[in-house]
Parts: sequence; structure tokens; C-alpha cells
Amino acid sequence: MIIRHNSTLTSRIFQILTYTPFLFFTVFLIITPSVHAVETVRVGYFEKKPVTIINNNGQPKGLAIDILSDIAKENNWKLEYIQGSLSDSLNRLKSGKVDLMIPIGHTESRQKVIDYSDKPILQSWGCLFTKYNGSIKSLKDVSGKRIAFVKNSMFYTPFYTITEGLNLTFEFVEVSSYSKLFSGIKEGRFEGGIGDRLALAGLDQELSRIIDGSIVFHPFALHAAVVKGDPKNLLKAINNYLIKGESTPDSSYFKHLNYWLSGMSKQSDYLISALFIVLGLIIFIFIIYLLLRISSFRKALGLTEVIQPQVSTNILITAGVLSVIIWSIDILAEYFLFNKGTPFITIFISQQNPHEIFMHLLSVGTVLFGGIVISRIFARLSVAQSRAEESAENLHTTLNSIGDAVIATDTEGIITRMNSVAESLTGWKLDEAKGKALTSVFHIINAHTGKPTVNPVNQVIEKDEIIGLANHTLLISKDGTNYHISDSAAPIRSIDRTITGVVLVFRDVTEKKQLEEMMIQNEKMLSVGGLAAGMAHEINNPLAGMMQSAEVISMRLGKNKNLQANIKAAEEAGTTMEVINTFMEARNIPRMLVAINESGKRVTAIIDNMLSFARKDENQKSSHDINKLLDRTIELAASDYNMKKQYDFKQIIIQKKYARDLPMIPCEGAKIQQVLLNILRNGSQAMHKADINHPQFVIRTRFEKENKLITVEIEDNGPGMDEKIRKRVFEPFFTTKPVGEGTGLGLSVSYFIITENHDGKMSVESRKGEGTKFIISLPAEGAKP
Amino acid sequence: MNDLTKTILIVDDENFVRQSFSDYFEDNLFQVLQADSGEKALEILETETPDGTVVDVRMGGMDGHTFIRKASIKKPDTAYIICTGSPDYLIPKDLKKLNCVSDRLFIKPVTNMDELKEELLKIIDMLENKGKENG
Repeated sequence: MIIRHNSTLTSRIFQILTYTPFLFFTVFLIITPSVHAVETVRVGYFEKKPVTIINNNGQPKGLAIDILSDIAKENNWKLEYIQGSLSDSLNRLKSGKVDLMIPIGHTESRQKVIDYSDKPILQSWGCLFTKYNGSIKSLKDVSGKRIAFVKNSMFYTPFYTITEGLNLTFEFVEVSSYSKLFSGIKEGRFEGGIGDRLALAGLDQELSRIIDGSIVFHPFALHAAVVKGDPKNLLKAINNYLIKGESTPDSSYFKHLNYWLSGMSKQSDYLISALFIVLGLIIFIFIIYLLLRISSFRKALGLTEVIQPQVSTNILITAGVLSVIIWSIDILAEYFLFNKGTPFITIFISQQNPHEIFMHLLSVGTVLFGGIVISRIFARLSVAQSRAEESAENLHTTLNSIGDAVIATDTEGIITRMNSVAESLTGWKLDEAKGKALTSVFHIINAHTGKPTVNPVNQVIEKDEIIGLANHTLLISKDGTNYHISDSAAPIRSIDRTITGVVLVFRDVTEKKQLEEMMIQNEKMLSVGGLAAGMAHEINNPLAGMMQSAEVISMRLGKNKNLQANIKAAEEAGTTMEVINTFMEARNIPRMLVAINESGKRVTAIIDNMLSFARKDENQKSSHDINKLLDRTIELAASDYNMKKQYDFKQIIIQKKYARDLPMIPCEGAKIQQVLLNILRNGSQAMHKADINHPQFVIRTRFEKENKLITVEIEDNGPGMDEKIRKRVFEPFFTTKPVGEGTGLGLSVSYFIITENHDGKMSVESRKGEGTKFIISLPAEGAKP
Repeated sequence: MNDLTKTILIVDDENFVRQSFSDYFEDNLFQVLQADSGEKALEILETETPDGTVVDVRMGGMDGHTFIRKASIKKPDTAYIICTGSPDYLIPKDLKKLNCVSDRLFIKPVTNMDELKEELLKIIDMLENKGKENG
């Protein structure tokens, strides 16, 4: 009903549809041939529910009205209703102002002036209305009470007669209408009232709970009446209708009777059934709602499968429930407020008024349609929302799948986002870092100078372009680990090209750096090797000339001094070999010759070592147990004369932490021993020189299964070395020892033996004051080369 | 060659090296011939038949290998010992197969020339014995 007035479209449809029956009726009237002339019948009536009812518009309704209109149709009467009280209507009938009166009960006095229809329109009982659980329980309780009656009531006389017979005395109170009678009982102005039992049908809910109509005393019938003599001959038609109607079970008479009287006895049943219907609808909708929560069911209906799929279905359900509630409220309001007295079923399904049913359906349909429209909009919105969430999720997973570290900040350098690689490199979790300044999380310094570098966010915003960070940037993570990183920073731009933030992309290049260092190292070695090979021949020849000549000299002066050629030459020079010898000894010539020879030998050794950079001979390799090689090397070191003369190797504590059952290594045992000895010798010398109190070596071996490498770690507790020296340790001819003590080739040859000759890895870890650790990895047997 | 004095040919383009070998072998009572190139050594072999030769590999003109290949055809009973200044040098396989070529390589500077002499005498001895057997 509410909706009807709101929508101009629906009201137009409504108008059109209301006209349709009129149109139909008009057409019907035109094509039906008129048998009788139309006769106007004036009907006087007073309200006596449910026989006659005056509705809100002042129009008559009710059982008698429906019956009369049926009769009027049959007889071509035109009915004019004139409303008044019982006595008004009687007077009008008597004076001929109306032709017919409804309804009227039978009394002796009335019989004299009017004629009644043979059959009553309705039969009923006189009733003593009382209050439920009031002071009147039966007829005899009336004595001493106040009993009301409606003015001119036909029940006054029969009640008076009965009570007089029972010798009951009470006070009669006259009221003007039934409603005053009932309200008086309710308010206690009188204990009871007499009237037609049918009046109960017109009671509202409250009164029907209070008023008890169980005491009946006088059966009576309600008739239609005409003035004495029936001048218009109306009664015949009425009698015919009523007689015919009573004898036919499915006659329109019975239909009217059922329709109008059902409200009286079955009123509460209808209310309950209506409530059941509403409850049933709610349960039905609830079941639909539950079904809609099952995703497969939703899919079958083609509803959206989104993050909040309930939203659209909820709206749909709400619209459904709302339409039912609106319908229910409309029905209940009509029943209890606007059309009091109309039977519930009439309001629930208004047979009399098809367009009211249509309007009900239309209003419910409008609400439902509105609900569907809104639910579709919400479905769209939730799809958009889920897409947005999906793309956020995508961005998150994409970011975390990137192999490089990514940090995003706003224009102020406050961190807004970072991926898992960035988390592990900086040592900060996203939750901790979010909202912090970039500089406090992304702590970078120049690897060479150790000074902090310029904040990349400021640089990007100043320059308004992508910048690459310096190559030698060192990232210091939360736990103090240093990473060499390569980095770029770029502005994040919104659609309108304004900078909304900065994104930093960087990667850990520490390993790459180390690899580069190693490659440089190898390059150096190889070039030294190549150089040595070319040089060796050039050096060896003059060296041979020198050393071999010196050898011949020392032989001529030493073991071969009694050669014929010697003696002959001495004689020719006028001397003897003895004299010459004495002279030579006096001038230390033999010692000088030894010096030449020894020096020459050292040159040869250097050249030989240098040449080992260029040599690679697979044929020499055999299987060795690294633990045994280590043990043998330690024994060798203990007995090494060169080491012994400087300090006692046996004083050094050696902790062997060997892994058992290691695979064998294909290698040149002597060369590996040379490497190990080099490391031990270097360490021993360093520890001795630094005067370490309890010098010790920790020697560990282990097997790295995944890459099939045997790793040896030799760690001393010596003085260690700084970064600069550590980097150059494997460089050929680099030495920290005084000239003459070391050639600077020991470790570089070792490095070369491991990396080039054995496809292994050799590195050193050291910090000033914290000892030195050499790490050698060699491929185990069966490892891929 | 019943004479106890052995004749030896030193082939080396380095004067001082060649001279030092020559001095050493003379002191050890060898008769020494010298050539500063492969070509010259082959010329000498036209007229002389030394018991042994000490041959350098890298020389201007004909290298040591070519000389040995040619000489060993002419004088298969002469012992040849290769002595080079290139430490990464390996004796070619075809020369190693020859009986008259020592498979021991001497790298200059030869710090112990007695070893060189012993090796030379060993090969000479072996070749002489073989010659006797053959008739």
C-alpha cells in the first residue's frame, strides 16, 4: 500500500487495471438485452454487523447487501441505500420514504405495520453479553445488576419477559448503539447487556477477549421488510431467492453466508493460519538463505563466487523478507486499524477486490525487484573488491617471488613495503620496518671508505630519475652481517606522473664479488704461469751458462784439481797447482763459487714454482684419504728442518676434528701435502712471530654431500690479518715476510694447486687479532668435474 | 771404437752453456766437438762419428728435434741426450721410441753434470753392446 503511492508508474498501471473491469462491465451491459425496465428500490438500513456494515467510505457492505445485490441483478433493480438507525429506518419504511428495510427482527407490534420476507436473511440468538469471569455466570445472576440494551432493541421485550418469569429484578440502562453497550461492559458501567449475538462478529480483538457471549435466551430471525401490502411487490423476488438459496448447497446465498459469518467463529483461526503462513514464508526464506550459503548451490544459481558473496545474497534475502513483512504489516494494519470487522480472509486474499491482490503482488514484486537490482550492484562491487584484493595478493606474491630484494617507501623515505629477500638481507621483518625511515633499516656504507652513502630516496626525488647505487656499496644488516649489494632506486609514479614514492631493488653480490676476486686471482696466476713458462727458457740458458761454468770451475779447483790440463797449465804459468790452491783458499774463491751455485739454485726453484702455475698433469692423480694426508703432513711439519730451526712445531697444540668415513679424493698426494704444509708453516711462523701464548691449530674435515666436496679447515689462533692483506694473500710474490725469508709464492702455488690442478676451492677467512682460517674444498671421488 | 776416449758432440746455440758442457766433458777426458746450430752439427756428422751428443731443443734455425731425427738416421749408433732450458718441455713420442735417444730429459741449468755424464755413458754402453750382438 505504501509502495503504491510512491510509484507513479505502478499507480498508472494500477489505474489502467482498475478501469479494465469497468470497461468489461460496460461492454457486457451494452450487449445484454434489457428484459425489464429498471426499477429503483430504496433500501433503508442500519448497521448490524455482519448483516449490514458501513465501511470507511460510508458505503454499505455485508451479508444482506450482497444478497440484495444478487436479487437486484436478477430483477433489474437499481438499489439506493439510505442509512439510519433502527427506528429511523422503521419510520422511513412506514412513511414510504424507503421501499425496503434491512435487517429487521420479528415482533408482534411491527407485524401490524410491515410485511416480512418469508424466509429470514439470517437467524440468530438474543444474547446476554457479559464480561469473561465477571459477576454474571448465568441468567439468574442478573438480579441486582445493571443491564444495558440498545434503544428500540427487539430483545428488550423477550428478555424482560424471561427475567420477570424467573422473578429477577435488575436495572435496565438504555444505550444508543452496540459499541456503547460493549464499551460500557468493558469499563464496568454495567455488568451485562442484551442484543443480537451476531454483534460479536464486529468486535475488535480487545473487546472479543473481554466480552462473553455464551448466555443466549431468544432465537430470532433477521428479515427484509416492506411496508404493509408490499406495494412494489418486492418480497416475492426476495423470498424466491432465499428459498432457492437455502435449498441449493452451493448457491450464492450460502457463499455469502459462509463469507460473512466465517469471521465470527473462525476469526482467530484465520489469524493463526495467517501467522503460520508468514512463519512458513520466513522459514522458507531462511532455508533458501542457508542453501545460498552453500557454494555449490550458489554456483548452480550462477551467483558470484567472491570474497563476500553473502552481501548480494543477503540483500536479496532481505528484500524477500522485507516484502513479506510489508505484506504482513499491510494486512494486519488493514485488519486491525482501517477495515475493522472485515473478515481476515477477505483482507488476506481480497476476492472482492482483485486489484488489491494485484497491488499486494506488485508492492512485494517492487521490493523484490529493488532487492535484486541492489544485490546485482553489490555483486558487481564485491567482484571489483575481490579483484582489487586479488591484485593486492598478486602483487604480494609477485614481490616475494622476486629473487632481488625490494623495498618501497613514500616520498618521505618511510618504508611502505618490502619483500622476503629484503627482509632476510636487512634482517628486519616487514612488520617491524613498516613506518620506519629507510635509513634506519637499509643501512648502507661505501665499502672502500666505510662512510655512509647518500640516502637513495633523497637522490631519486632530487634527480627525478632512476639512479644506480655505487658498485661498492656495503649493506649492514640488523645483526651486523655485511653484504656487498648492487642496487638501483626508481621513483614510483602515479597515473598523473607525480612521484608517490621510491622503490629500491637490490641484490646480494657478496658471492659474485668473491667470485670476481677469485677470478682475478686465477687470471693473475695464469698470467704468471704463462709468463714463467716463456721466461724460464730465457732465464735458464744464461743461468745454465753461469751455474754450469761455476760448477766446472769448482771442479777444476776441487775434486778434479789434479787433471793433466790443470798441471800443464800451472807449469806453463810458472807455478804449481798447490800454489794456486793456496791462493784460491786465501781469497775465498771456493766459497764464492758455492754462493754462485746456491743462488743459482734458488733462482731455479723460483722458476720451477712459477711454472707449476702453468702445469696440469692429470696422470699423476691417485686416491687419497684426506685425514691420512693431514696426519702425514703434521708429522712432516714436526720434523721439518726449516721449521725446527726457527721454533718447535711440537709446541703447537693441534686439535684434530676429523669427520670419519670420508670418501677418497683423487689427487696428487705430494702436491696436496705441499699445500697443507704451506698453510701450517705460514700459520706457525705467524703465531711464533706474534708470540702467541698457547698457539694452536684446529683442523676440521667434513663432507658436503650435496656438491660432493671434501672440505678441510685449518684454523690458527694467530694474529690474523686485515682485509687488505687477506685479499692479497694468494697473490704471487706477495709476502709479509722480510726479504729472503719467503718468496711470496707458497700460498699462491697452494692456491693454484687446489683450484687449477684439482678443481677445488681455496679461501681464507681472517680478521685482525682473531686468527686465520684456511678453507680448502676438493671434489670427492665420483663428483662431477 | 775400442779407444777408451769417447767423442762427444755438444749442440747448443748458447755459447756459455755449450762451453761449460765442453769444459766439463774435456775435464772428464772426453774428446769434445761443438756446434752452435743443428745445421752445423749435421755438417760435423758428415766427417765425424761421435759416441754421444748433448742437444739443445730451442735453437735458431734447425731445432733439436729435427737435428736428432736426421742425425739418428745417419748415425743410429750415436747416443742422443736432450737438454733444454724449457722446464715444461716433453720429449716427442717418436724420438722417445728410438733406442739411441735417452728418455731422460735434462733441464738447464744442469746442476749435477755428473748425472748427465752417467746417463750418456749408459746409453753409449747399451748401444755398443747392441752393436756387438748384431755383429
